[in-house]
Amino acid sequence: MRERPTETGGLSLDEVLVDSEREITEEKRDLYLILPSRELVFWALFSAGGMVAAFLIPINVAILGIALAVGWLPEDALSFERVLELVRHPLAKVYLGILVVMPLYHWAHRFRFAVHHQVGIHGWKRLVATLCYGTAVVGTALTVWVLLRI
Amino acid sequence: MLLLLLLFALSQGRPAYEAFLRWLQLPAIVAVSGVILMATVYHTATWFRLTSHILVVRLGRRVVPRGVVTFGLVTLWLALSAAVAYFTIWFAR
Repeated sequence: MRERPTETGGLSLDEVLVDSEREITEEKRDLYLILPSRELVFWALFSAGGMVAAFLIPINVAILGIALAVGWLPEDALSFERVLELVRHPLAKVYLGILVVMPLYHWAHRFRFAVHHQVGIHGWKRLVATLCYGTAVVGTALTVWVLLRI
Repeated sequence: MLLLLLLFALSQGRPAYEAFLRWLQLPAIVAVSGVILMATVYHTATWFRLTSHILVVRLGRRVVPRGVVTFGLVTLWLALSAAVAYFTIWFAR
């Protein structure tokens, strides 16, 4: 870090940004060199899917998987008419689309690495990648199709 | 995947949808859901722990401490969960 002159205004925005970029670049330069640019797309999808999964999936599983069966939900909370009305709203479709699709890419990326690094299959990289992301893409298509049909 | 199945059943009409809801309540399925719930909560916990390490929030010269980031993530998670629960269970009844 540079020596800072003591001025009444403190640091300028420029100085803060330059220093922060210097730190980040030094720590993450190796990472940028190792990840080819194609990987970044899948990694970005993985991250986004992970965020969606971390924030939204627990409550959904708790409601559909547990609360419904145990009887914690009010009568008719998940009745056909009500759910149909809810899901038909465009925002609901967008929300459901994201909720179902993003974790698929999260799974795909993670599963691909699990196959290579935890199961130990180091060959067939193209095939494994195609199967993993392909499954996610198929899932995306199915989701869009179902959402459009409702 | 569960949601996709639910949405598909919904698109097939009332009998399919209600049959799906009954299937969801079978003891074996509830048991599986319990396991899935534990797995997703574990995922959320480890994901937040990871995020608190790599997410660097700078305010001027200072950096937000890791504990505060974690607290923020957990709070956001609870708020979003509450919103989802509200819309799923009570909205427009």
